Amino acid sequence: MYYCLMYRNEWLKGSLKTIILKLLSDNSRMYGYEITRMVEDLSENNIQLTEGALYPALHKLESQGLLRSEKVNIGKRVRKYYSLTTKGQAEASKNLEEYFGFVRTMIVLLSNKPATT
Amino acid sequence: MSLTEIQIIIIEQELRESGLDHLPLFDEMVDHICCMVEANLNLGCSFQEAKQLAFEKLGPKEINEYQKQTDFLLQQNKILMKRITVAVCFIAGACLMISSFLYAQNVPSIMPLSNYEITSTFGMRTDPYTKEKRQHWGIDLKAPMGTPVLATADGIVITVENQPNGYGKYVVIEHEDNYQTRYAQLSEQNVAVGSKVTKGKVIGLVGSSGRSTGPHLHYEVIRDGKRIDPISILEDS
Ligand SMILES: [Zn+2]
Repeated sequence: MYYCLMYRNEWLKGSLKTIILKLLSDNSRMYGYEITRMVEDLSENNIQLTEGALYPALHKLESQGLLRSEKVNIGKRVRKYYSLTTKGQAEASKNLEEYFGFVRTMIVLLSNKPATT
Repeated sequence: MSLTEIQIIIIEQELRESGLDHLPLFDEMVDHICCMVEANLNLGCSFQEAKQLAFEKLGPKEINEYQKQTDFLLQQNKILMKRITVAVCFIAGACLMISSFLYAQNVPSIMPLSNYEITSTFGMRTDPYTKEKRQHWGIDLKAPMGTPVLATADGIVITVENQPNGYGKYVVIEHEDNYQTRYAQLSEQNVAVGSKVTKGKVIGLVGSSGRSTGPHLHYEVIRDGKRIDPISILEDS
């Protein structure tokens, strides 16, 4: 059976773009289901993307020109593959760097106690 | 393990019943669920179990969220168009009166039957056939066999079809402002695809075709691609 999300949805929401861009920069093209599985594997099952969040995010990134998609017929099914555009590649590395910077800052912020004077 | 054509059709059918059929992302969703079902099959589930697990994971909440998000995306272009329309109307004061008149004619704000009894409302209910809880995407109006069914707004007929395992004989009318109305379980369809209809025109007769327990009209209102409670936009409400 499946379980619900381990992390709060609002945290994931802010990270979704970063996750998608990173995975697509490591893999030339992926489809939605493949992304959800890889996120589960890489996060050791601690993060499960929901379809309701993933697909709209993919479509939004595509409309922003960061992703392109191609449809491939597999028997009776149509599979939609996403890959990074040149613009998307640049954004992916910039986004990842910023994200790491943000996480480092958060760790500093949340682990330091205010100095008592 | 790859799904057979029949199994894919079954999954498509079930997804349609969940109310995702009108989305441009339908194909993508079918592929996604097929992948989930295949993964479950590989764990040793039967097809039936595998499918049930996949849909359980998807769940009504997920489907709702998905719809909300994609409706938003679809509307982004429309919003710009609407803004332009609104601006023009403000400049010409008379335009406002005309558009409010058109609104009354274009919005499905009347009931499709003159005499009826509401036997099932919009929302979650127990399916009379399978006894399962699921969303009811319209309202059911009980009326004698052969009662005339009226178009609830001006529009153009876009579908006249028969779905023996679902809607039965049904008609879909497209209205302005992104409204559509669906009239199902009919005994007769009295319009053809492409015909123009005006508010109050007879488009068919009440019947019990398709998945139905007796003579009634199953009536749906679709706004911006999403089914809404028909009662909520009635003139007097
Ligand atoms: Zn009904």
